[in-house]
Amino acid sequence: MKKVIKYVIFAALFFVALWFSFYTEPLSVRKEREALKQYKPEQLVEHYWSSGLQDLEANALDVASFVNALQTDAQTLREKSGHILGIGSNVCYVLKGDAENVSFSDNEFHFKMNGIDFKVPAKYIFGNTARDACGWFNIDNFQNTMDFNAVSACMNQRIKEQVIGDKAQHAADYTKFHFCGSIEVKPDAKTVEHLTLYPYIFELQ
Amino acid sequence: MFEMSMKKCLRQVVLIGLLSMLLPGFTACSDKARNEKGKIAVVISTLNNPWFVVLGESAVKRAEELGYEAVLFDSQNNPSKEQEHFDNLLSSGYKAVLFNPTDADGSAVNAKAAARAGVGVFCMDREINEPGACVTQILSDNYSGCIQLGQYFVEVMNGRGNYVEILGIVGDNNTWARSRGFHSVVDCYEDLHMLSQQTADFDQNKAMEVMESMMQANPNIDAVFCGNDAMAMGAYQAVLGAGKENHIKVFGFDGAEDCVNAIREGKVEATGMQFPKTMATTAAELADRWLKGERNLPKKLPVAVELVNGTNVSHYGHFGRLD
Repeated sequence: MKKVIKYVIFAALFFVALWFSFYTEPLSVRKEREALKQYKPEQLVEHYWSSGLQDLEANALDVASFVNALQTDAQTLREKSGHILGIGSNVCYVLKGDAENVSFSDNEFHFKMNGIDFKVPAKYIFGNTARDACGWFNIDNFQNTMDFNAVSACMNQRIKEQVIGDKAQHAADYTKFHFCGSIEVKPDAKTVEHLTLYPYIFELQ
Repeated sequence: MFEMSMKKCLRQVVLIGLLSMLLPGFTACSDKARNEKGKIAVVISTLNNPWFVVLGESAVKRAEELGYEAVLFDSQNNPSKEQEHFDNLLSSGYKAVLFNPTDADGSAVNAKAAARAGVGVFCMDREINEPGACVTQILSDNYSGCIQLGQYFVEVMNGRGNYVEILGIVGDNNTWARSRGFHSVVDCYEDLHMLSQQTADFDQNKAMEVMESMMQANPNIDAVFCGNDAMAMGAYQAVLGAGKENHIKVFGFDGAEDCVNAIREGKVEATGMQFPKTMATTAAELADRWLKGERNLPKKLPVAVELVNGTNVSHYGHFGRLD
């Protein structure tokens, strides 16, 4: 009898140990957890866009100040407000203003301000200007350059779909826009005549 | 008169004798200074490609100018050869490695071993996916360079046509940075169709074979985008062999001399000019600063790439600007 009790206790202990050695979970839960571990540039862009946009606009240069500073002291302007990715890279800035007499043609918005012809692409948006001008992302914090470049792709997608959105269809109804956006100039530029603006904010008025 | 010239001659002989006695001393001094500063290894993925020869030789030259003894190692695009080099150099007292890796993932183990041994690793041109193992990675901004190339490609193609792409080594991040930069532009244009995408491992002969087979499978190719200039030249040879040089437009990336000349002659449309001398010089100078005790160095340092095409080719030469 004693032997039987001993066997039962051992068997119970064995099954308890076995029970805690394994666990099961649905495949969908497992996949979701693995996906969360992976790098998601969309989440990163969303985080900065929702938390940093106000500061970005507050610190942006108005177009007149930018033109004046570029002509008089480009180096100070570059050190104070510019962002340069690496050796020989263009200098990126964030500008803001209220554009008047805005026209739309060839998938681009066009306007003139302080002697500069601005274009704002509505369909073909690519490059790293939006990523580099805002200063939110440091290349040193990324595992590799592919992850860093994925941020640009996400930001450009967001600009195309959310910032520009369907404004091109209503362009004829409005001639004024409030904007805050990124531009880039050559490292040695003292004057500029044409700029391509990739907007973070582009509002019809 | 004879006495005068005799005296002059004697004086010159004495002077030359003195100089020849001093010269070994000077050489010994500079050798001693070089030995005191230590040794720097320059490990290059392959010396079978002129681009990497320029990278390696420029790194050696700058390291020597800074007073180090610099030795060049060729990994022959072989990760195990690369590991052998690291095993040797870690046991031979090298203080820093100017490193052009063979593989973004596979080479990380070598960089980590060097870091554990207190040897500073400075990556040049090619990236490894283990940023903590390197002091600094000095890299071409391939993505931005290929965005410029993509924009020019669209312009040349007038936004429509069929093209093929020849990729570099699949395990190299540069291959994908270039391809993705190019596609971030070209894929926006729905009338541009990619018919085929194949790898030729950055090799000219392989690219020629790949292009030949792609032309056989797709007789309606209008352009080819190649991940480096060696492959662009290989693709051009295939195009020339098929008698389609007036129809198929070739695009490369690197800024190699033969490709720049081909652009000048109208054989190749464009390339992205990288600056291997800038990368190598910067790597050697950062290694010098690190060896002098500076620790606040950038982890990654991109170097801008410039578009070279028929309109601006006169400003460019062998892996750089002429001015």
